[in-house]
Amino acid sequence: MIFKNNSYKLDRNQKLLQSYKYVANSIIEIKNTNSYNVIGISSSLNYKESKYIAVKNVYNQLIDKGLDALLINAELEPESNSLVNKKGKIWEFKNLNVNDMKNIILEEKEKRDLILINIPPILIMADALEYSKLCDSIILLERYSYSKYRDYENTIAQLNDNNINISGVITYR
Amino acid sequence: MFEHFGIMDIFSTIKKYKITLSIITIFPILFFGFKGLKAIKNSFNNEYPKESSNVYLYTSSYHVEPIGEAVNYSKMDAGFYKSLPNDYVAMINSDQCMKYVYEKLLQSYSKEYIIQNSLLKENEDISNVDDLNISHIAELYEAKQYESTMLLNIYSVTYNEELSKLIADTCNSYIYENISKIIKHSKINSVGNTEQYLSLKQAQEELEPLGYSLIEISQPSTLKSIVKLLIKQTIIPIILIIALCLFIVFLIAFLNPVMNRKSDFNEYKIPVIGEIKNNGKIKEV
Repeated sequence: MIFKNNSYKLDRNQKLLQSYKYVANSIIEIKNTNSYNVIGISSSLNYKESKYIAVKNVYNQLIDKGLDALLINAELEPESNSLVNKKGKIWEFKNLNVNDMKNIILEEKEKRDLILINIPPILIMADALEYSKLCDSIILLERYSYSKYRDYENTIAQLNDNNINISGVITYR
Repeated sequence: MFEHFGIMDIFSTIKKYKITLSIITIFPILFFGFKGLKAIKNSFNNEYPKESSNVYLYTSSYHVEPIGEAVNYSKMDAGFYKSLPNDYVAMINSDQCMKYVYEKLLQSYSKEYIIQNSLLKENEDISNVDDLNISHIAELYEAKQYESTMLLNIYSVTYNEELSKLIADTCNSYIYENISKIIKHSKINSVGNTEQYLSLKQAQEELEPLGYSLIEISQPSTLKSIVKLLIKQTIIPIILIIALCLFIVFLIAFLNPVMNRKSDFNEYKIPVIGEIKNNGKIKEV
């Protein structure tokens, strides 16, 4: 007996969606296993926009799973004005003071299931490391063919030297 | 050295620089493609004269013998002795001699006459009469040492008897008026002249074994010749360019190691919690 159409055939977008869901599930498992409330997502790469879009996609999947999560996009731009935008469930900060960030996290930690912070590359921005210290754990987001061994090793070394926990790495092509 | 290097690195480097590589390869491919097509078109158009055409082949032969101190050197060194005609050959084939011949020809004939009565009429570079210049005279005559002897021959080939003779006579006068006064180690004597009226094919058969390249005849275009031409003009250069690009990709992948696979991250004992199957620019889903 030959079974026709007895396979999972997903198109490109569906595969992409499933991969984001997989990542979201992994983050939820990390959160539940270790009781983390604040997870930062950083990188050794210097990609701003594409990293933020990836983090946002992961965040959307976390919301779809019923999590009361908050996404903070903590940008650092030298010689630029600071910005605080707290509308909706995605907050945009620019050049926010570390103490202010700390206060916001303390304030929202009890109210939310999870706070996800999009942190700039630690090797490039000094304050990024300070933001990382405010998190329970850090997840690295790296890209195949672009992430260099040297930069990745230095990022891990920086985090380890500051006793910052690294839960895992998300990769994309 | 090769711990972090594999075939995946080469493929990912090609993918990373695909636009640059495409631009680098597309222009040479187009260039050599057009060159190949042009060569095929020219082979059909028969840019060279047909083998059935008849020409006047005028041959002037000369003998060189050492004089003065060169006689003693020649006895000691056979190589020096046999190389004496080369000085004459070089000066006859030089730009000065060509200029001398060119000016003498123009005293007797017009440019149009010279072009129409010589192999220059099939020359692509001469689209009109005024294009004729001194460098084209090299296609009317050639001087060469005969094997390893003390003889040298000057051949001139045209479609007109008088023109062939004039070219040979002009070379002869150049030898005695100019060259003989400069070269002190030897003297040159005329042995004789011959004049033949042959088909181009026969003339080519006579001159080619002696190393003369005055005559090129169009060959009938066969499939084999076209394929050969295509391979030589187009396919081999394209393969070389692609090979060069691959070599550069290899160097980039080798000297700039990046993380290309899950196992590269596993080395650092940090678990890969997910792989986003995104090919290309990241977009919102």
